[in-house]
Amino acid sequence: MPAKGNFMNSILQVKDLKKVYEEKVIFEDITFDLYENQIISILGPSGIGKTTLLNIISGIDDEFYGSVNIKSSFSNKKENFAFSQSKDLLIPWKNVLDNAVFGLELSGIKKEKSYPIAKKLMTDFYLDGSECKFPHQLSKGMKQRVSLIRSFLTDRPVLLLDEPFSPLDSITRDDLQDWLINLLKKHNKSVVLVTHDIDEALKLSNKLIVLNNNPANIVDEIDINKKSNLVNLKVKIKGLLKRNE
Amino acid sequence: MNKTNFQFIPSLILILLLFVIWEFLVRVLNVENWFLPPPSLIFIELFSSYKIIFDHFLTTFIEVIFGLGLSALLAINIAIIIFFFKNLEKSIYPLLIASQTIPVITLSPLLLVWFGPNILSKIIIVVIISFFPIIVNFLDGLKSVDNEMIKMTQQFGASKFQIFYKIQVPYSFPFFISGMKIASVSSVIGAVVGEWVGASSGLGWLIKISSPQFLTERVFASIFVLSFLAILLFSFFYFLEKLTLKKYPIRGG
Repeated sequence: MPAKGNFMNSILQVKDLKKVYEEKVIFEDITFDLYENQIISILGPSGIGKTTLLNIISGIDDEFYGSVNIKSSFSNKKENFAFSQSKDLLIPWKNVLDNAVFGLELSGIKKEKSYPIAKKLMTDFYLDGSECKFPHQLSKGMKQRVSLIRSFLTDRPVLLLDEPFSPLDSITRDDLQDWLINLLKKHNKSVVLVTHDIDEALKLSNKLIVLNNNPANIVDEIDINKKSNLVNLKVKIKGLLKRNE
Repeated sequence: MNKTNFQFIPSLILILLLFVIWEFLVRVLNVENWFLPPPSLIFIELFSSYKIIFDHFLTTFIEVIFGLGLSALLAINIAIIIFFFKNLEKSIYPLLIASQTIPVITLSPLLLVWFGPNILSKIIIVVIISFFPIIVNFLDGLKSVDNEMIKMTQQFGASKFQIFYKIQVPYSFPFFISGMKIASVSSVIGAVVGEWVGASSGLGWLIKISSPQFLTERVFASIFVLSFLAILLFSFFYFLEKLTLKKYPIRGG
């Protein structure tokens, strides 16, 4: 079960978000708040526009209606978000350590400064001893952890995860999910996770937002706490996710 | 590892075998030496007049190296310009292709008139004949960086310039080397063409003046050296390419 807390401070407000692509409405009326240390999962069938939603929140995609407000001092909106997706997108000619500090390198932080910070985190990411390996020498799970450490190191308040574990086999995925829960507890991050895996969403998050229909909208919002009956919830969500053609 | 190191052995055996057949046929059929000398005489010529051949080799070698270097510089710059100014691609690219359809040998008398019978005209011919594959390969490399990779770097706040020199340039380096590999072979041809039309030294020139004198052994010896030079250059870039691909397994990694 993920970290608990009273989510007092909302740090991200998404309001009446609507996306139109080639004259077709992809989704509309998307409204939710993300609180500090909260982990929200956005669940929906494949192809419903979940990744587009994350791209809009993060600022990569700026063609949309509605508003995304973030409580922060960063002038550039993108600086609030660290992004990780199912493709690890590691740089093939850089070793683990250099990949890990790549985000810092881009913001102009020298290696003398960034290496020690990265090395401290290596243990938490089960990567110690692999610092000098290259991506093609790593397992899929390790690559994903390197990709996550890269996002983590930039120390941005909100972590956006786009199906980070979908290319992994179920055992590796399970391990990584457990590991991520502990990691997030330890490092106090707010997370928006996009997935189509109900178990993953139930396991990782405090709150579920279920998307469906065409154009997509929010069909239900479910808070998850210790009292939640996960089995019943799963059945309910399965029903919600059925495609209404 | 060993496998790659000994890859050239089968072709070496084949070459030796061809030499043996050649030697045998020339001797059995009593072919005159000025018509087709046996390989043994060619190698004897290669060693007995190595001083002359080496002198001329040096001229050709310098033309090739400078030409190839200049060609790489020019190609890199043109490729970068085309890459950043997409509109220019439509205007420059057809011109570049057109430049490749002109038989170089027709240009060389003109270059001779303009630049004189010195090394410069040969270097320019080498550039003309070898820059194209470098541009095409390098540009392909720059363009083929995964779009999601670029989005990722943007997400980390990278500027266009940072994306270029931290991602696109290193990514396309093996492509560039692969272009150099092709260019290196044609560069030797370019130097010889230049020397053929007007020169006072170089292996191309040596061949040109030796053949009317029926110094056929010398002609063949020069051809062997030229082809050895091309193979050497090709192998250099071939191994460099292997090395970079081992370090950056960007294809299928």
